[in-house]
Formats: sequence, C-alpha cells, structure tokens
Amino acid sequence: MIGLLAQALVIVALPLRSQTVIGQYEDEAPVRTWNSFPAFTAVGLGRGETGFTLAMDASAALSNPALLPTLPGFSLATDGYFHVASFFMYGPVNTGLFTSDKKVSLTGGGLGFAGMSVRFLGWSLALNYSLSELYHRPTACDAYEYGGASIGEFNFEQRGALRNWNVSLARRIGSRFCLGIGLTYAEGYLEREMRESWFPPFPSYSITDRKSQGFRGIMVTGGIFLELSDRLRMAAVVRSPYIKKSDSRSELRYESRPGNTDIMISATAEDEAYQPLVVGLGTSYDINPELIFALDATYYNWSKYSLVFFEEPRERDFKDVVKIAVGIEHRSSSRIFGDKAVIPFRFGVVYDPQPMKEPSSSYFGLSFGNGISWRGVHLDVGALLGRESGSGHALDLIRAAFSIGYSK
Amino acid sequence: MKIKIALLLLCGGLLSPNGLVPAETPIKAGLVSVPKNLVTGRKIESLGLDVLAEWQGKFFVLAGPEDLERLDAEQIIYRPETAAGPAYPAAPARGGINGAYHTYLELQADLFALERSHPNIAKIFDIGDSHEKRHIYALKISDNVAVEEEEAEILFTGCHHAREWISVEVPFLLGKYLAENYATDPEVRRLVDRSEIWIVPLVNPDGLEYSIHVYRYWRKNRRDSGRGNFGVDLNRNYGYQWGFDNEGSSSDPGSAVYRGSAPFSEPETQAIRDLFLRKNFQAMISYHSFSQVILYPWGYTVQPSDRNEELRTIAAEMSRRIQAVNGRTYVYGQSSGPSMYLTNGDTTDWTFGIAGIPSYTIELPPIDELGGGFFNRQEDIDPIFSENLPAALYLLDRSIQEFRPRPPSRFDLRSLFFIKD
Repeated sequence: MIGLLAQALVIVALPLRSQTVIGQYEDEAPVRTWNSFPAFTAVGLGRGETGFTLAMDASAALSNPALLPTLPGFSLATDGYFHVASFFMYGPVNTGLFTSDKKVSLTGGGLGFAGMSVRFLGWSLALNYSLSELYHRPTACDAYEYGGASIGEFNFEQRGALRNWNVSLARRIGSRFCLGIGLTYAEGYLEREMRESWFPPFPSYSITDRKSQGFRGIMVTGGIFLELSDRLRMAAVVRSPYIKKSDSRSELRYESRPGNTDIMISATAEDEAYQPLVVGLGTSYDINPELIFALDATYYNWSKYSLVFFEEPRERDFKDVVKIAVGIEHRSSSRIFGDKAVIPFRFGVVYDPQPMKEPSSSYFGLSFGNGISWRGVHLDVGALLGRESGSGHALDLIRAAFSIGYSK
Repeated sequence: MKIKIALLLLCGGLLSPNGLVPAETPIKAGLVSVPKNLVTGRKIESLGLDVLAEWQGKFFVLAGPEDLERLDAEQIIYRPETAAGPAYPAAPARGGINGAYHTYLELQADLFALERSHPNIAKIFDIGDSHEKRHIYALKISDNVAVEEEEAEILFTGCHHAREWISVEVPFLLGKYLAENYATDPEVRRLVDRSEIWIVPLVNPDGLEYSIHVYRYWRKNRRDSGRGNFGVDLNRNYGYQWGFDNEGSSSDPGSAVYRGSAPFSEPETQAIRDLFLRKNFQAMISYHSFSQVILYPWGYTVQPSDRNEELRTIAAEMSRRIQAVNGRTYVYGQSSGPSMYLTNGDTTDWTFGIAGIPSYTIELPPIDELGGGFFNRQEDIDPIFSENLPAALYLLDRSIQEFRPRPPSRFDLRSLFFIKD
C-alpha cells in the first residue's frame, strides 16, 4: 500500500495561483498584514498609511473619528483597491503536502470603502463601510499520475473577508480640540475546502474537508484631535479590544462508491477570537503652506490575542508590536476653468512589524500618491510597495487604491 | 562518549522510583499559574521552567519546590492550580472538529481525568516533548502505581502515524478499561496487581494536530526538513537496522516513509526509546491502521527470526481472540511477509532486536482503502476496541506468566545506542 502510494504520488504540476503570511498554519491571518486597523483609502495609502491627523473625506472615521469636524459640511467618497500579496507557507503549501520553491501571489481587488459624513448643529456624523481584512489564499491544485494515467487530484481553496460597518460621531470643542467616537460592527466569513480524489486503477475514493466560519463582532473607536497651532496638529486614537465571534461548521467526509462507504464527521461550534487593543498617536506639521509632514505610531496589543477554534484553544505565540508610518504631502495649486484646483503629491514610508514571535517578521513599505481636488470633487490614487523581512522568503506586497469623492 | 551518556541515562533511571518524572506532582510543588506577559514569559524561559500550557492569559507551570523558590526570588506572582479544577487547559467534551476522536488537548484532559479518578492505579508520566513542544504522555496502570515493582511490564503505543486516529483510541480505551474495572473485575484486578502496564496512546501529537487541522492523510511527524519538506516517518526512525535499505524506508525527506537523518533523530522516538530502556518490558504492541493484520518481526528482511514460531503462535492466538468478539479476521504473519512490504527502523524490529520480547504491530480496521482507509466511523471506535481487548489482555497475561526478574544487565550497551552492524 505504502509502496504503491509512494510510486503514485508523482507530482506533475503545481499550478498554485497564489500564497500566505508567515503565520504558517494560521488560516485566520489576514492577507497583507495582521495590523489591519486603521484602514486607509488612496489618500492615506499614498502618504505612507498616515491618517490620525489628516482628513480628506468620511474615510477619516476609519482611523480617527475626531477628524470629522475638520471636513466640509458634507462629504461622500468611495474607494476601490487592487492588491498583489505573495505567500510562501500556508494551509498544505510548504507545510508538508505541497512544496513550492517560489513565492506565490494572490491577486485581487474590489470595493474597499464607501461612506459619507455630514455636519449638523455642530455635530459631525459619518456612516461608512470598509473591507478591513481578507483571508483568501492562493488556490492549490495538483494531479497524480501512475503509469501515465491520471489517478488522482487534489484541490485546496480558502476564501474569506471581514467587513466593517461604522457609524461615528464627533464634535469640535473650542476652536482647537475635537473629540470623536465610532461604533463598528464587523461581519464576515472564512471558508476552506480541501478535496482529494483517487480514481481507478487506484482504489477509488475521495476525501473532503470543509470548514466554514461566520464572523461578527462590535468594537468602539475613540479619538481626540488637537490643533496645537496653525501648523502643528496631534491626535490620539484608541480601538477597543473586541471578541470576533464565529459560528463554525466542519464537515470531514470519506466517500467510496466501489466500497459503498460513506463516513462523515460533522461539527458545529461557537468560537471566538480575542482581537486586541490598538492605540495610536499621530502628529502632522505644515512645513510651509504647501508641504505637510505626518507621523503616526500605532501600538497593537497582540500578546493578548487568543483564538478558540471548534471550542479548542489554538496556540498563537504573539508579541506586541508598534507600527510606524511617516508621510509627506505637497499640495500645489493651479486653475482649471477659472477655479482653483489642488494637486497633491504624496510620499511615505511604513514599518509594519507582524505579531508572530517566530519568525520575527516585518514589512517595509514605500508609498506614493497623487490626486486632484476641484470644485469639491477629489480624485486620488495611491500605492504602497512593500517587502517583508524575517521569514526568509521576502514576501512582496503591492496595494493600489483609487478614491473618488465629493465634499461641500 | 556514547558509553558515558549511556551510564548517565541508566543512573538517571535509578534516581526516582520509575526513572521518570511524574507529569503532576504533589501540591507542595505541583502546577501553578503565572500571569502571562512579556516579563513573566522571559523570566520563566530563563529559569527553564516546564510550561505545561498557556491558556486564558496564564502560563501553567509544573513547578517543584526549588522552582517555586526561584519564582519567589524573581518576585513572580503565582497561584496553585491543583486544588480544584483541571491542572491543564480544560478541553471540550469530545465531538469537536474530529468528532469522537481525541485531539491532543482532549487526550491530555482525559488522561489526567483518569489519573484523578483512579489515583492508586493510574499515573501519568511526561516522557518527552515533540518538535512543537507538545508533551508525550505515558499512562502507567498498576497497583502501587507510584512504586516501581518487580513485575511484568508491557508497553502499548498508538499513533506513530498521524492519520491513524483509531490507533489513539484503542490504547487509551485499554487504559481506561483497566482503571475503571479494577475495583469490580477480579481478572482485571489480578492482571493489574501483577504487572505494570505502560500505555503511550499518542506518540506523534504534532502530526495528529496537523492531520486534524490541515491535511487529514498526514502520516509523519512535523520536523522541518527544509525546502518545504516536513516530517519523519516515526515508524522508520528506530535504531535496529535503521536505513537497512531504501526499500523499507527512504532517505528522501519528501517521502512518506522518510526515515530521518539518523536513528532516533526525532524527539518522539527518543521518548519511546528512553521509556523502553528504563523499563523491563516483556512484550509490546504498537497500534496502527489500517488492514486488520497482526505483524511481527522481522520487517527489515524477509528472513524469519529465530523465534518465528513463538511469535507466530502468539499472533495466532491474538487473532483468534479478536475474531471471537465481532467475527472480524485479523490476518497474521511476519511483517515483511508475502502480502506485506519491507520496513526498516520500525518499532517492533527495535524492541524485538534489542530486547528479544514479543513485539507486534496491529493494523486496526478497516480491511482496505475502500472500506474507509484511515477513516473509521465514530460508532466503530468501541467495537474495534472491544475486539482488540482480549488480545491485549492475553499478551499481558502471557507476560505475567513468563515473567522472570530482570538480570542486572540486560542490554548490550552498543545496542542501546543503535550502532548498525
């Protein structure tokens, strides 16, 4: 039996369409980075993922709700993204079943944000949607040959996302101080399926391992924003820890028609993942009327992270991390059809350490962006190019975003 | 150098009654919890304390009196955890992601529960840690369980191969059966009183967890061999005729039967080796699945051993007793027999090769791949255990009958260190 298997397992192709984070076995690791708060649209992305002290539209509520009073009375915006993230080790890939010498990439895109803000009687209100995390993995598939004939195949797929629905309220207190709070409902899913089938002349059977989770959770975001002078601003942000609850389902099935055998092990569970406290500090300074410097530092209390999966605790050896983001924005002006148009150029760098202790791993990113604001309409593009160090696999990351908004 | 190590090992074996460290010690030492944070984590690591688990923001530390003194000296706040409730992470009732089969945590919980409910005849020993730092537990069943007596000893192991979930259940249920029936069944009492039964139901905990969470048909342990290759076939890693040829095992790290870089290169086989060398086992059974066969040495060669008839007679009797329960036939024969295949570096060749004891691999049901392969229905766990129980008790009883006190030096020191001739 073993000998036959060993001969039969001739891997003829490994058409991996993409990969993961260094978290290796951690199916719940978000694509790109564990540090998914705050989320950024094209503006913040181009400025090195800085956003605690600078607002362009209602997406400010994603990073610091206290910025909402600095927006015009009404704003509306939406944002689309495109990303390429490379992976090396995930699910069955490079953990024992499949080997790949090269990194594999996951490519995707879609709606990243949509939201609006209004100011009324001194209060600023924002409603928005954002895609905060993706759990997709590159699909792995394989075929087995024996004696020149196809005798088996294997498929692995994982898809998932976490979406945030947020309402934020903020108010200016005095001339230089703003206070804001946001309530976010997170919901999403993670689905994973592995299927292995064998055909004649090999004993014919299939194994299907299907797991799915539906997520939900509520978190609170609070922020303060202080204009220390006409040129210097500071902010502090807190995102509460929260429990990401999950309705989990599992089906493990063996089927063999020739053997008239059908064995199923199914389970349901109510699980949870403790998502940690996040604290951010930010500052920005107008070097001159056209040039702004911004610095954000964000602390993630990952050492408190815990995960229960099918009612059993899963070991996650995480450490606290601090993400540092630095950005500059140059705003030049010109006139289009007689009206003033502001054309920003943005540049930034970001150091984004990941929470796993082993391997210790961080992303370093360079970003740039451009845009135009004219007659209340603003169009922005931003991109971040990142590379990971620490895992030995130099995982790559490209994220581009395009925003369109209107404010009045 | 090797002889020095051998002497140390043997001397170490004399230091405690069993030569092993109980997994749970009295309250004057025992299990304590320490709040988990970066500072305590570093200190615990620097003190070299035995962290049993991390759970709900605490380190659960198995601490002796000296360890507690060191915790005091480091001003680390700790709290006894042994008085009430489990002394390890509470596992859910079985029925989770792998159904009625045990996960590592579930087995850990059930083993300790068995020890708590039968403290006079059941004791858990931590005989080593896996690559991913999971504990490998041995359950000892005997009267005067804390004392090493001059009695027949027998070893049962399970789950060398990760995907063979049923092979965890049968030895565990054997231990449970003996503990729970000791008070009421005179025959069980006789066997337990006159022997020391060692059960290691989960030799490969890392592999089992990978099999549950990632790939159901994973076989090996979880050693990272580099270049995307993982795992050593633990049942090709034992020291007798290790790597005899490339048919009975493989030198390719990508192979399902990769034998490892050296005999006993793996912590899991080292744990079994060290337990075996400290004891005086008269027989052993290694449970596997599937195919319903009872195999005995040799596996590395088609040549029969010089005690082939004796091994065959015992196997025939075990097969007969198994069949008498549910009518299922377990074919028996030499491991490398015509219907099987060569294996080198396996458990039974080693135990038979160095100690000359009756050693068996029992491949549990189903009989073939189409009948489920490495899958068994959850409701088949009890019938499969029940049919294997008489065979296990038979071998145990035979060991008691054949038992003679151990001569002073049983092993050739060279064979202890697995030097291949």
